[in-house]
Amino acid sequence: MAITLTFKNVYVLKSCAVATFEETKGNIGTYLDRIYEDLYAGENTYEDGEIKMCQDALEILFEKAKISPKDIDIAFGGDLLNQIFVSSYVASHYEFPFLGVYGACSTSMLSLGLASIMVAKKMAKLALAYTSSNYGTAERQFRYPTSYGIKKKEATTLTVSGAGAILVTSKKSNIEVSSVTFGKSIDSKTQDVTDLGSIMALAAYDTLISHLENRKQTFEDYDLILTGDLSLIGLEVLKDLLNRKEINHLEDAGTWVYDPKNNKKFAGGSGAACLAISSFSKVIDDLEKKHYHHVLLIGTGSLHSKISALQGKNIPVIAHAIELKRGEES
Amino acid sequence: MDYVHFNEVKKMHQVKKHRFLSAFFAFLSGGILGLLSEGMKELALHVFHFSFIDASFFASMILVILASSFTFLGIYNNISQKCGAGLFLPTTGFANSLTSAAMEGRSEGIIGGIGSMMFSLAGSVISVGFFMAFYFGTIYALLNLWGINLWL
Repeated sequence: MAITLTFKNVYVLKSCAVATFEETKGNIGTYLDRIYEDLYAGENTYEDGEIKMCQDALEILFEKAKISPKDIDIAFGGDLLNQIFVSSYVASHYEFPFLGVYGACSTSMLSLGLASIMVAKKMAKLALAYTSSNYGTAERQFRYPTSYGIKKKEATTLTVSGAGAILVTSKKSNIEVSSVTFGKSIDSKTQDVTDLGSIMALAAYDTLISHLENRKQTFEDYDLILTGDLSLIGLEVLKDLLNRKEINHLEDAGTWVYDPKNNKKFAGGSGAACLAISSFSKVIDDLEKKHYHHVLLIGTGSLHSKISALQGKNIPVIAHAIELKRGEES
Repeated sequence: MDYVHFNEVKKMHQVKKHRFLSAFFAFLSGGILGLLSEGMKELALHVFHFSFIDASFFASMILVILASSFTFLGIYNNISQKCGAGLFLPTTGFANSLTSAAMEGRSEGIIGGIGSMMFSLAGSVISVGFFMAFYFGTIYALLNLWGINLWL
């Protein structure tokens, strides 16, 4: 059973999201803070490109929040590279204590959840959570070289290139982090790494049901339930598992970023940055503007590696949920 | 966790493969590639007056250079997504696997990157080539020793 922790004094200070041009063609294009031409972001390698995006996201965030990096009490970060190199490297430019976390594509929610706990327990006044991913580096990490001409299946999801960062604080603001549900790692009993969306639906289902049960809520309490990167197929699987075909406010960030209507890319977007750039831009902005009042973000991740996949191990899947609420005042 | 129900639901939503369409495009692209290389061979035979074996090498060399250049320009994976096995099975797929892996390894330097990573995908093809050459070569040599002459 997943665990749900409720908070009363954790607020979102500011958030920031950057991505490449390809990600702007979907729903979130107008909400992004900086847009890059390509995966390299003006650098020489994909890895440097991801570092640049991640670093820029932090710099923009500090500027937006009008704080100095020294004010941050603790930071949680993660990405998809081996030994979460990008996040650690970016953190080495700053003074704050850094904890690297890995939750595959659920990293954004995992780091935000941990940051919220630190603030809720009064161990930190200001905590930072950030994550990044890049199509070039992730393909190399988990699949084949980017220019390798193997035929991709329709169920494939493409890694979103970008970075997102968010600051949580104990000082009152408009958006409250009301609760976090950490899910359990579930054995998907499959080895197929080409269709991760539909197996991650299993974890999303488990975490969603546990969250609603623990919080004694229903689907109708939320204006939006946004899953991380289930893709077109995974979202349908989740709706079927929930037995709710008609549920309209259950959406997927992967299809937000790579909109199937005008920029269809296989089954949608995935990757650590997928939910990060969607939620830290559009969702936070819309909460601020009162378009949404109560949002549940579910980050889903598939915790396999290239070696485990080759050795034919079952893929463990996980999902973490964060509940965001628009405050009453102002 | 109810895996039986989950597997049923998952199966229901699986994307249908367009087997016929894939096969058609593979057939078409493979055929065009064959035609192209046959043309090259004829050209080498009759215009450049190459020997028959040299002409075959010439044709496959042109294909390899074309595939590598297309990979380098970033067009290859767009075409191969459509063509599938039509481009993957001939020597073009092999050329692409070498070039793409080498390009990817560029950032790690010449020895640790390009040199060692170049064969990360095509390595198994080459290994099989080595072993097959060794085993069949041994059998051929043994047969020759016993006086059986197989002229291949």
